[in-house]
Amino acid sequence: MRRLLIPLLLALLCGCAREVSPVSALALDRTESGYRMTAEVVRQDSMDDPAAPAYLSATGRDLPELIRGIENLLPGELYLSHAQVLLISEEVAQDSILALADYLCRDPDVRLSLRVAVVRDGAADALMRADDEVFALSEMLDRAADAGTLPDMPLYRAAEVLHADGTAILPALRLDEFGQTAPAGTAVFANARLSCFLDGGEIGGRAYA
Amino acid sequence: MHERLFPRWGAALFALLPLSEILYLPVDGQTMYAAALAGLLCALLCAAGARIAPTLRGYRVPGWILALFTLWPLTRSLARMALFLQRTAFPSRPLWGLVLLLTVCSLLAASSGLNRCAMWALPVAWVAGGILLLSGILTLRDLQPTHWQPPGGTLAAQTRDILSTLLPAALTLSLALPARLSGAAARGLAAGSALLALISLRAVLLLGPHTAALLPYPNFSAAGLAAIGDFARHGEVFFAVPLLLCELGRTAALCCVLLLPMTSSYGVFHLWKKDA
Repeated sequence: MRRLLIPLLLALLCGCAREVSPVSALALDRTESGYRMTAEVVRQDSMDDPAAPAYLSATGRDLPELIRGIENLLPGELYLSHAQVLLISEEVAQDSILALADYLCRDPDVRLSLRVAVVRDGAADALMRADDEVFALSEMLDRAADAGTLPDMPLYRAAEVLHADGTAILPALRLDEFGQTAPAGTAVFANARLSCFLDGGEIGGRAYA
Repeated sequence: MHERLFPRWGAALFALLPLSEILYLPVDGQTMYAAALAGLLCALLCAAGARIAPTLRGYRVPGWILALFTLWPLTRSLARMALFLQRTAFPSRPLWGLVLLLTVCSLLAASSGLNRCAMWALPVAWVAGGILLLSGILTLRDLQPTHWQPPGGTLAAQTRDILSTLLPAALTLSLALPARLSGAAARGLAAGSALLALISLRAVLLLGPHTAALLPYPNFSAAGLAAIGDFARHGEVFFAVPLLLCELGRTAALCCVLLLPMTSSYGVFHLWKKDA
């Protein structure tokens, strides 16, 4: 009986060595016919090479279709467990984000600590592509949340407050005049839709400039 | 072979039963009360079951009835464990394959007898308890006391749901005990249920009742938020492994009860070999 266990284990578990493409950040924009999702995939060809971002985009009408579209571009599996930031454009935030939050919470691959931020005055994928460093965005959001200059609202907290009363605040970002990512105050949601933006002075926080 | 089941081993074996519920338990604001209440009821019933168990051992028919009844909690445990593994770790593996693998593992563990299963339950229960405690401590800073809810309307339904998964396994095991270990059974179930209630409370205070209700495995997901700096961010893996061992201990113990009428000595079953 014990001899049977080894081939059985090998047959069942050898598929664990699958090729995965880890995603570090996602951006969601509105298009005329639906949505466009851009994934920042971490590429590292050998252990000596530095990790570099690669960008993949797909269009679709809902999140499952968008994720399937990006997966179809890859030879391996899209690995969302390392995704730390989801950027959404103002147009996306003006629709209800409750369904988006629910879907992300239910997806076992997505981490509940994922930070969602709203991009002001521009496309979300343009902001994501502005930085060549992997995980730079998430580090900036973590630092800002620790310092109190941006709301500390990971996915699970955002989903909770949206469900509780539909009101939430999320960090806002924008590209500054030098083409660099900069904090841009707070996006206020009422009834799960973007209501307005508050800048640092208005919420009693530090001025970002 | 004479089997001697020490009380502390028996207590550990019974503690595994509520501990193995942690991964799959749906959580909302009432779960901690329901877990505590269900644990208390189970402990009382199983203490009574363990008291009459040695009397039942003298008869063949109750043994067969108990063995057949064991199939219910056993298949349920195997199915939920396989489904959990498929959803979280092996999405491309077929469900039947995972069920087969877990069944073989349970049978192999059961073939050494209930006594050894209980002996191994002791370190497994300590490791699981330690990991749960550590996971709780690591998330202590992020808990939001405002998410706490007083006992409310869904408490009775939640208690019934927990009892429907916990009681069949606990009662079967208590009725099949080789010795009068009612105190050990009650202690083990009470300790395991206390941890189950505390971990459910942690999930609610951390995630909030609405987010927790959305998740298929809320305690597992909540454990994923426990991180040590930047390098150990996947705390849910460390959390799930000892709890899966608890579930394997539970299925192995139930297999022992299932095999009991077919063995000449208590729970020891040498697969494809004759007993010495």
